[in-house]
Amino acid sequence: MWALELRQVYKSFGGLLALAGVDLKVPLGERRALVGPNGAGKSTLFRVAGGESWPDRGEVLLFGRRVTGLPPHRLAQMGLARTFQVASLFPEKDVWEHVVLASLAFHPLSRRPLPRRLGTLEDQALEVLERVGLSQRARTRVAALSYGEQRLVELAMALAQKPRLLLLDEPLAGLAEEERERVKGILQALPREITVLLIEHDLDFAYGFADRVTVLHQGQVLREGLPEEVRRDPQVIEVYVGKDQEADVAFPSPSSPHTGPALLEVRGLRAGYGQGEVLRGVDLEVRPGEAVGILGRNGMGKTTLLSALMGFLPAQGEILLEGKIVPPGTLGRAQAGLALVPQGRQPIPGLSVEEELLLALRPGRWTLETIYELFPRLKERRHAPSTVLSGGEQQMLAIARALLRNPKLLLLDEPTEGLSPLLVKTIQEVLRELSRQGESLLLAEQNATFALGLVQRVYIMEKGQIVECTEAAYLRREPKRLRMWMG
Amino acid sequence: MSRWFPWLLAVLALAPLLGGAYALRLGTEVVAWSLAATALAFLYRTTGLVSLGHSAFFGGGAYAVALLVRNIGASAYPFAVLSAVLLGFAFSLLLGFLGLRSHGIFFLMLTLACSQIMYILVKQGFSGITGGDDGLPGIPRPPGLEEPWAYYLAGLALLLGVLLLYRAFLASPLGQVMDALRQNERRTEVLGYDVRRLKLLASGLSGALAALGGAYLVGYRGFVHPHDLSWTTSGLLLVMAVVGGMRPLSAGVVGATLLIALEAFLSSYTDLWNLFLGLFLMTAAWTTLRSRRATHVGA
Amino acid sequence: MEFYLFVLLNGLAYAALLFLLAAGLSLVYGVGRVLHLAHGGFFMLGGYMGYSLYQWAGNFWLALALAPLLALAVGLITERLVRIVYGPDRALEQVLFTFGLAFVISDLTRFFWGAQVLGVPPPPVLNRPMGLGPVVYPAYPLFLILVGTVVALGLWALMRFTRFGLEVRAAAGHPKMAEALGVPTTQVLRRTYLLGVALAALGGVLAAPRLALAPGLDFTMLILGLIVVVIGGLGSVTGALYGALLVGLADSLGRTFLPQFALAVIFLLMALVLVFRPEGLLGGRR
Repeated sequence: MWALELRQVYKSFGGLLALAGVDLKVPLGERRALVGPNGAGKSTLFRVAGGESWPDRGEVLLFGRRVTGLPPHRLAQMGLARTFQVASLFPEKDVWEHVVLASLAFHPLSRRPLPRRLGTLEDQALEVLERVGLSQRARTRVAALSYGEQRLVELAMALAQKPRLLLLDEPLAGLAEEERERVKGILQALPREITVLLIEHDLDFAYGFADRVTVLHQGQVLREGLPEEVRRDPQVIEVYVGKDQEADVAFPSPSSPHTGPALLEVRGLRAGYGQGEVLRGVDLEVRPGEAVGILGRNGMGKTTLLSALMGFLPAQGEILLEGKIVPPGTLGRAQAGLALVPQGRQPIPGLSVEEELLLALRPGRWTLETIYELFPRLKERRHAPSTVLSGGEQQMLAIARALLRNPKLLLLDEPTEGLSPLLVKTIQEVLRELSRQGESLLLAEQNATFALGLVQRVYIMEKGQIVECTEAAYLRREPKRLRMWMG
Repeated sequence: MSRWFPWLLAVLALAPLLGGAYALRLGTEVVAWSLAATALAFLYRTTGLVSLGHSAFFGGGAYAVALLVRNIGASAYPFAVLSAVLLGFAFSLLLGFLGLRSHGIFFLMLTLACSQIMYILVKQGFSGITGGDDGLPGIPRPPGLEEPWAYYLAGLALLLGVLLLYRAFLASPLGQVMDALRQNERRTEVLGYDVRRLKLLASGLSGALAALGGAYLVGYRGFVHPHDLSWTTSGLLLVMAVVGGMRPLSAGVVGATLLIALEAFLSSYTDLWNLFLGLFLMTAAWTTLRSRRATHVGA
Repeated sequence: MEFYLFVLLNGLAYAALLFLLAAGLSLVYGVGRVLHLAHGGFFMLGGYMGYSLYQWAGNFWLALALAPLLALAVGLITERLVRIVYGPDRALEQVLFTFGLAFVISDLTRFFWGAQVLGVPPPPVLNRPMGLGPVVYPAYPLFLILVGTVVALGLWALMRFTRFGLEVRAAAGHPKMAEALGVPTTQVLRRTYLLGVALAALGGVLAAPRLALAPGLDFTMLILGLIVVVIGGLGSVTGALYGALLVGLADSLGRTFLPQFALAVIFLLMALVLVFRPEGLLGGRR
């Protein structure tokens, strides 16, 4: 009997196929790590396994019983517990109440409409709090806890449920160093009766913790096996770091050395969501005509960085465009000359391709005609609603409409996510062409080889900070150094 | 709750007994509306659902009692009240069932639609039975409570009982779970709680309590009118609950007292009672918004 | 046979009025995610202003032209206020605030115009029967149907072919991305709101010769407007059109054959849509 089994599971959202025939078998007592780049389908898999989403096709079995289509609480009753990537708690309750609620779940006491003593449940709750290290904070409202402590509460609740199967969604993400060690310790100390399925981007920990690893890519299982095998597997490396392309010819070398005043200057940028701080003091700059890459694994803050630059979320620190501080909101920054090609393309529902382009249009070098020359496919599809385009077409649209802003700086967030290798190559060529024509680019990418094939300079982000800044050429010559950061 | 608060409450509660017929009338109205407004606040407190259709239970309860007592006699009161409460529970379950499939503004409008259906059916559809536009007059007082002061005292006792039960409920395991449901439904479900059943239960209890309020009102007032089912009644109940703060135990009582007192006070000075109510509402909305922004955790 | 034709035409005329009311309500929701419960108040305000303008000028057409402009002036003020509650997940505050605003408008209207029932006669050129083949039918409702059609076409053209329409659709579809592309969503919302107010007021003036101007009209119309936008789909002008047609015809048919239950049936329809297809029969925006 398997603890968890997925048979040929398919799941799509909107037009996107998130899971494309996933087969997964996790034996009892195993510790399995689920890894893969962004957009691979890991979160969707968790949702399906947890009963929050129901598969379009395929079956989910929990401890040998068919649970496809059952609501989450039934699965919890069968012994499933999970934590969420972003702490999902009860804002007005304190830590103690959280843990008690978790232990109370299938207890007949939970149906008592009059106050009752909870007896042994309280002892159990205390014990869990001790294990997790939150006994001192038991009576604190969770809203007052640090982000790391909130994630610990998530963990405590999961443990209090006395699960047989534990689904952990990035338990280390967003934690400070000391908290990470604490969580790692707790996870390592989990009894072997509990089967654990873990999504984690800290690959060192994931590979060290897991008995076996499943690699997901574009909604399918790419590889499954022992950690060492998977780690060294060339296909897996390619998926994460990008294919070593022999055919890569002359990289765009700057026609003029990029000197002079910086186009974009960022100093001490701090930003986050809710309680968690994601960006912890970022400094970077982009010079006119330069193509700069920001590399790093998932969850390291690349998207948050670009979102903060575009004004989608409040941030502290300085952002200067051509020496002037940028206005605070999104509209102001768009008008000041920043344009974003967002993660996930983000077409605007209700508009056709041409309408999106016309919407974005601002006077300058790029016009509708020149854009159509660059993207003939968009011209063919110009009357189609933007939402029915394929992934690659939507990506081209996203780049096109950002270009039509005739911006001073083009921000690109993971433009290759979810695209086939052929399309990745196409996009790379487009961006190289743009760089050759003198556009300034700031590109956040997980696929390092793609990025290195078109930028001149690279920043590497780790846990919300810039840890390295080098010439792209250097990293191309020293792939080992790159692997060190990208896993 | 600070120490002097219960004493203040006792004073306020007993004041109408000394104030004369008008004060007593107001006090009785406050009790009736408090019950219904508390019911609305309870629903929100436990499920996060906002209803703009509680007049269906408030007015419905009144009509149920009126019809039974009119046809059977004042001795039928206990039976009539019980029936009203049970009917309120049942219909509210139905509404709750519909509410499982919608939320937020859609649920709001759904409750509005449902109560309007009832309103029209009573006013026009089955006017033969319900007295149509004129309502049903001539409802006698319950035996033993014919005196206004006696009726009022009985109401106070009832209200006090309800509030104590509410408080006990909130402190109970089940109450805590319901509270968790409001704060984070997804989390509650993932922990293993049957969220649907909980929502249904909360709906049913809410409707039953609102019906009790309507029953109490008609027993004093002596007549029932389609206006008790109208959406302006629903709106007023919602306003009372919100003004009282929605979350605290006393929300319904505070809101009802404030609004009825406000109306009584203002209508003696000006005809523009709705204007001030309107401004009041706008201010209440603004302050609610500001306090909501303060309690946001996670993402 | 001609009996059914009358029922149909009456329904269409009513639908035209409902459309004028509902189009603005739907648009404001689409762009600002706010349900403007004071919208019925602007309808009524338009009617009363039309009445006063008519009393002053003696000319229906002048009243028709000026009343929406006056209502716009009021709208400029209220928009500033309603802006406070824009945004999703604010159902409670929106209800309170716009409800409160509705009460304020309601009482102020009662203060200025009193509580008795007022009326406006249709303009002389339309105050006569028209021959429609073998059948005779009053001209004014036909005029309403004409106006409704023209406005519907105009709105459609506005949304499809103008820059403003594009920005409205973008802001309704994906406000964040629209802003990142330079769409000034706050301004767009303001203009949408004002457009809605003007349309509602226009509807009010046009309604004056047919409906009675009295306190309570605002809430009656509001409820009907809500039904229309729910059925047709919140956020969509075409939705408002179809919803208005459906409700207008249902009302006309209902009044004729099932007078006691007519309105109840319409509400039932609304409830069913809310439960099974909350995005409206046409499936509006998200």
